Amino acid sequence: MNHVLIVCRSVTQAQRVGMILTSAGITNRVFRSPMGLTERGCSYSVRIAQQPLRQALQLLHDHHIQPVKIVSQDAYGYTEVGQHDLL
Amino acid sequence: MIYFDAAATSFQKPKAVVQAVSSAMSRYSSPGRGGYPSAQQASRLLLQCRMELAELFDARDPEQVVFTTNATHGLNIAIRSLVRPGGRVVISGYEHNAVTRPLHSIERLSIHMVNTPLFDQAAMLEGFRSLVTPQTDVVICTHVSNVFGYILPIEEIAQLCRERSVPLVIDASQSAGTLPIRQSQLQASFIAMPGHKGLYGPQGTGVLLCGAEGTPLLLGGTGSSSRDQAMPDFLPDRLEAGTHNVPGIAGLLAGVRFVRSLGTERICRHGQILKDQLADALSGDPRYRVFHTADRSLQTGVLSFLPRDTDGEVLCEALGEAGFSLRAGYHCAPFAHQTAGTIQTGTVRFSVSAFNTGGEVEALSRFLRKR
Repeated sequence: MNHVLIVCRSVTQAQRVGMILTSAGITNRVFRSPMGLTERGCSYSVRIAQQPLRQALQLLHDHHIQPVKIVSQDAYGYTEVGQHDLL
Repeated sequence: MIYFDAAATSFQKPKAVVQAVSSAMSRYSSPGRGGYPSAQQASRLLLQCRMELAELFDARDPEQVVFTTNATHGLNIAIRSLVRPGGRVVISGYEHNAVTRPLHSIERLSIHMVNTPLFDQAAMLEGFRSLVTPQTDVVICTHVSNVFGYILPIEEIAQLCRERSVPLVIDASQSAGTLPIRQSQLQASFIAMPGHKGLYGPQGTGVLLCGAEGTPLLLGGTGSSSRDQAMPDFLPDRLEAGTHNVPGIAGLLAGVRFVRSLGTERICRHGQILKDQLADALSGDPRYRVFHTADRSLQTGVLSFLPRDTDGEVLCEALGEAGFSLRAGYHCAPFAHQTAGTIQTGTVRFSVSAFNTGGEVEALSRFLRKR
């Protein structure tokens, strides 16, 4: 199953994203970002299914939260997704 | 022992605070440093505490709630962020050394102090109006005098600063948990507060509400942006280098919940009633000078008094032997004594928490009247 990773700048932001998504019924998991995704070093990401991504981004927008980037994850690796295209 | 030094630290803590600290010692590891459960749970605890503090102080964004070790730490960050050598600062005449010492260390700083009589809010406002100019780099003002419990007109001072586009730093050491503080209305650049006084958390905890860019006081690991050698450019990480005081923050969260369950209005009223009780008991005794106003909009549950027939420290020593914990001296605020005219003597300070009772105040009153 394909997933989307919401890459966050800090653990605080990631936990906050996780909490907001959980409140909206979107299943998610906060975890350490894979090193290949983080040009600046350690960070945390929130993994969700592909399907509720648009809803998730709208929620983050409503809460004035700007993730570092969104990447989709499939069997071949990670691909960055344009956030604005989805909103 | 009957404790009346809550303005220094609220010695009596809710049981939930003690339990939270103890439980945290065996539940949480280092937040923001790993992906395993105890680290993630620690991160969630910190976020929960930031969120509840943001709600209590009406701050928009929990990421702008920064944990410090005490109010002094937060004030040092605020001053380092906003004050430059050769700058111009306006402060009230009731500031603590936590403000004046960091300012004193900055070269060629022009410090303008609003020295106005105790409990005279109108004169104080007028003083700020005349001293705050477009050339002022920052206004730093305590919300409540730690010596006299005097409530400064902080909303009006904040409005003045907004009108003149001057950043404001508020020292909420004596008001956090006791008076309403609404960052969304005040729009202060920084509000610093301890966790261990009116918020009933453990010592070693403090909070800095940030409304402006902060300059770090400590540099080091944050668990984020680790390849950058500059500190992160986002909060709270920018101002929180090093491992957090997780057990302390767990206790602080329990303390914040205690405050929210009672409500700041109720806590403040309780303190004011006890303060009035002691003031009434001492006011008729010519051996004491009491710094009191009956107007409850002007004083919290902190009362300074002065024995006319002996030294304040000598009286406090006697009080201690009789089982009462009060503090004498300058209370780290010499300018407040200069402003109020007590610089030669200092004062004896009585300050209460939600745990003090009228019976305890009656026992103190009896001792002071009979000695």
